[in-house]
Amino acid sequence: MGCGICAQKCPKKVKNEFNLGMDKRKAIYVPFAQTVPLKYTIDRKACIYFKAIDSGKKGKCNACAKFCENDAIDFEQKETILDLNVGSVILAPGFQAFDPSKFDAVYSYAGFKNVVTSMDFERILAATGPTDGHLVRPSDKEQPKSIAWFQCVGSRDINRCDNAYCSSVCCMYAIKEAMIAIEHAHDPLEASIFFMDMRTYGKDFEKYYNRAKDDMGMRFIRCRPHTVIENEDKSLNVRYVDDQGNIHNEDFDMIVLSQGLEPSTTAIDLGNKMGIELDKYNFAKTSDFTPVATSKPGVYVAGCFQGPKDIPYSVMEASAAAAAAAADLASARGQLEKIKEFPPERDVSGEETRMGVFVCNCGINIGAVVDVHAVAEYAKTLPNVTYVQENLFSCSQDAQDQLAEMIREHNLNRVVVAACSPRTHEPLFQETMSNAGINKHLFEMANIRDQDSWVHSADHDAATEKAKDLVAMGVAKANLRVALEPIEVPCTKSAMVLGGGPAGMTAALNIADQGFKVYLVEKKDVLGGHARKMRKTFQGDPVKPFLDNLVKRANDHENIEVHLGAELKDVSGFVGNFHTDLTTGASFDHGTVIVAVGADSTKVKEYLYGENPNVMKWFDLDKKIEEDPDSIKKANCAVAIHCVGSREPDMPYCSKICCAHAIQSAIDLKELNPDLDVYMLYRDIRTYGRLEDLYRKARSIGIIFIRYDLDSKPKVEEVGGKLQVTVTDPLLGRPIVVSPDFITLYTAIAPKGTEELANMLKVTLNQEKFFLEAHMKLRPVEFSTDGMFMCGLAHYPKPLDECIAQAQAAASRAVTVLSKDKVIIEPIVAAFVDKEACRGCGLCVALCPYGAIDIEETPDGRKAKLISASCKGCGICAATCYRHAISINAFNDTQIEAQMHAFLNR
Amino acid sequence: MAGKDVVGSVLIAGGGIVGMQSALDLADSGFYVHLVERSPGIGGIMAQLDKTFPTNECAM
Amino acid sequence: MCTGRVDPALVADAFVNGADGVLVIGCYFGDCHYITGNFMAKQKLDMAGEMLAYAGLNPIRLQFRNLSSAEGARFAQHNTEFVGQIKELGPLGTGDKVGMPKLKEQLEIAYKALAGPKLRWVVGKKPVFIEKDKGNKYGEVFTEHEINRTLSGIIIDEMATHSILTALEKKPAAVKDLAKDLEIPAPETLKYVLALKRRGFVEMDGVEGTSPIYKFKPEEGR
Repeated sequence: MGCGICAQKCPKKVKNEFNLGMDKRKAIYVPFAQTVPLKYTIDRKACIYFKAIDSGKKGKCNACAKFCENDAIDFEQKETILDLNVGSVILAPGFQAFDPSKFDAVYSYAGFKNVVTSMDFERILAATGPTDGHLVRPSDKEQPKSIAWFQCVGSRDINRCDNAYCSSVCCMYAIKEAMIAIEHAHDPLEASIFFMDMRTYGKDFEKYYNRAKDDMGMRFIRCRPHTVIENEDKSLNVRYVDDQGNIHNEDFDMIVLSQGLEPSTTAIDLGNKMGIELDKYNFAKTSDFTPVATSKPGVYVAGCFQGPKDIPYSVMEASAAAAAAAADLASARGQLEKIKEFPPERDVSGEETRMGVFVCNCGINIGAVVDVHAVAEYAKTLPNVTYVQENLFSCSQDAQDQLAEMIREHNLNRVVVAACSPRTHEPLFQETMSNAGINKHLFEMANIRDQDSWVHSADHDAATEKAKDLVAMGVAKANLRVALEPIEVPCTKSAMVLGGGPAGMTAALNIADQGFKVYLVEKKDVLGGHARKMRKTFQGDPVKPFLDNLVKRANDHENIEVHLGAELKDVSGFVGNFHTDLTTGASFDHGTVIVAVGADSTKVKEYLYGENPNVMKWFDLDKKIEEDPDSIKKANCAVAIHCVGSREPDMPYCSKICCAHAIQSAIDLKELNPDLDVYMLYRDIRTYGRLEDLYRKARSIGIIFIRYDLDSKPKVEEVGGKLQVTVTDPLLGRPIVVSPDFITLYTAIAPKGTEELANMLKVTLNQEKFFLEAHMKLRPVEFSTDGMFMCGLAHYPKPLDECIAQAQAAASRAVTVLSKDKVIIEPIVAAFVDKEACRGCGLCVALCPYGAIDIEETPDGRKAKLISASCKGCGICAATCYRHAISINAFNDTQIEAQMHAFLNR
Repeated sequence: MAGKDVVGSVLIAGGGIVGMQSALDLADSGFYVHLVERSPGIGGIMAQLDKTFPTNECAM
Repeated sequence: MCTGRVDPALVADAFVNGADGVLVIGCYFGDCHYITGNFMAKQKLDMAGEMLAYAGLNPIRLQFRNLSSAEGARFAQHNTEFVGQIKELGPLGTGDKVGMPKLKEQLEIAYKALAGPKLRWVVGKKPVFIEKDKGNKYGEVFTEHEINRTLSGIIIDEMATHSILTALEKKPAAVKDLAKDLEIPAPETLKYVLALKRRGFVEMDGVEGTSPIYKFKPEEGR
């Protein structure tokens, strides 16, 4: 039942690993309040009973079993080995945070109390953490006035550990932690971040960094501190040398170590057991062309075991792995699917209301605080209540059976259960309603546990009164409840993919391989997109053979209809039911849309581009390497300028792939001509993840990296017919002048034509005109309009492997729609209460966040048209409608008012 | 892969955000999923995070 | 369901039915489960707050706060704090600009105004009017300040209009008597009455001395 009595009574306390050992939990426990299942479990290593058993003695204690009202504790349970026959395996074991205590001499984590790890700090900030969200330092529980973050702890480091890669997420989480800490602090808090390169390369990351720096006054110090000493008051003295070479001595109240991500030992074990190939860092090895496929067919990998990454990219890979597995198993779709069946429902619309109220004791959870009997007696006095019962545990199987029995015996047509939270138990009771042949929406829950007995355990009388209030409100609402049927709309089992680059083709092929029709629409007369200009992936594999194969498969696939030289003319409809007209005259119906229209490099008006033929953009250099290597062999000096257009006020984002691309090309130059001087003029090197290997290699072969700031950008001139570049080296503090044979500009990547497309599809863009996903973290490939998905550069610049993973993810999400014959929607959505009143003013259309309302012409004039398939039931329309024409099923004004009146007039 | 030997189920090792998302996608597409997690509950490391960047949203 | 569902009329209804305080708690801004719902809620509740305060309610009695669903302890804190504030203030009618039973009458009028079309329309349009690249039908974009100023004007008009209607529904009256009873300057009252007459909500019921008497016109007659 998850009542928690066992944990209350358990005498054994151990360190709580969820809070990194900063507080205690019991030997019988749930890991955290939101976990699923919310059931208590015994930690065998800590349990007094099992400790005795495991050392060959007789088990003693039994406190949990003694107090459990429901006999739910069984010490005899044994481990069982299951033999499963499955079609595919997905490995998602995640990461472990780098443990700095292994290198205590350097990080002083274990020695100094006020040095904490970033995971510790997450828990210190969390409202559910060991300090209830109060920002205090461990030594004296006082609020710190200054905190320093040390970046790259266990990352980009071959001296202290073997994690040479960049952990990809620490720069951002350190900024986040500092931001939240500043917000939590009652007094001003000085936040300082010691870093090597600030790697804020993702969507909206750079703006976040700018906000931290410019608006919140965070200090960013470019260096690795070398010594930490604990002062007498337990504050920490940090000695460091800044990038001008000045030595500093500074005290901080706390230090947070931004620990890197590494494959966990259990993940490595799992990988070895599965017999998949691991890379040199023990991440699962994958190809840039098949980013979620391991070396073993049928075994896929997703998340941080594939490489360090943030949440949205983990979620993308999760869906990508699902898509890859589903393509293998497409012929067995539905083979093992289980569908519940229920008896036909009784039509209660003409019946007099007969309500049953079931009041639950929840063991002693409710019963020990609330006078359940008094509440039950009170319930009998409420309108239309014909049957009242008290239960020890309403959710137990026998109580469920009895509930169904009572519905039948007393011909009940409304049910109120006063018990725990609908969040966890409503589906269970609703299922019982269905089993008893009653529509599940005739059910209402009154939460007298979580909202009453648990929070008012000190005042039994008041808790009982509140329980009566809640029951009265539940009954008032239930009296007005009506049967609702799920809304079903047919689904056209085909997808339209916009954009014929690698992302679009990958998405199209996966959906086609899964057995669904795809219309692949490309503006140009040829498939391939910008990838046609790419020489190789960041792992060094040639792109051309892969791309040629992709194009061939897309053209040949029986489920794919390719439309070249075609653009959208009109798109109408909603999830499962779109209709599209193309400029070529073609038109078709489809159930989903995937937007993969890519992006473009921006125009440059600086650095003599367009004036001097030896100033090039990135793909020009790649072409030169490919087609004219002799000119490189004869050259003396080459310069690359990073961040051309990117990270500037007009385009405040990082284009993400230029650093690695520039470095890869620079390495090629150096390999063609080892005597060539290669200068990289950069702002931060952002070779995240394993791309750091490229950076390390570039430095080891003598490529020269010179940093510049936005206020002292490099100067490019023509002097005596030759190019001359002047840049101020911040380390030396004086200008360096070089005369390169050629200069490569790493120009920003920007969306193109997305505004028109967004208008046509009625979807939203972010400030930089990239398409905006429904949720930055958890729905990274979906638009907020149902049935529409995105992938590739149109979402944000990213390397080929990430484009492919994202394309597979978009395909996976699209197939969750296409694999069903109908789009079925729970009926808690917007509905007309008075259609006549609607004037078709369009206010609700403008405010609906999901594009779920449209306007239609009807014989009675203009009216709102509700697209239930896209509605999420937020109710903004209901609260807005000036004609009171529209409301939300099961939450309409009359029902809400009835609940309020029941409470206020009791 | 083709033919009647194909088994329409997938085993997913890991009940964090990734395992859960894979499981939901596959189950929603007509496959049976065995979701295996080492600890007593699903949720993974994301549940331990306070807020998430770049929107400072609650991780729960 | 979302705080975006909280209809300003529902809030007024709660006060009319005797609630001493209404606390609406939504997600943090930018963290809305329904994308923009909490923002919409704030627009509406700000307006409802102004309307109810104009009607005589102490503004402390209606509050909008932000929380995430994982912050149980803070939820309790917010509630305790709010309840404390309301207890300190006392029951409805104490510590308010207007005492009982007058306050209840005023709140009933405010309820009608909040359920009525005018305020709902403008506050509904507000997010569109102030959004870059959108604005009104002619593409004019307004500042939030401009819209709020318009809303404040409408609140005064609506309160007056519904007070007059409510009074006339009880018994026909002359403008000068209405003005005295409702404490609205006579020229203003006349303006409102004439507007109501134009819209068909009131009609002449004869003349007393030199003053025309107006009466409420039931909906069927309009």
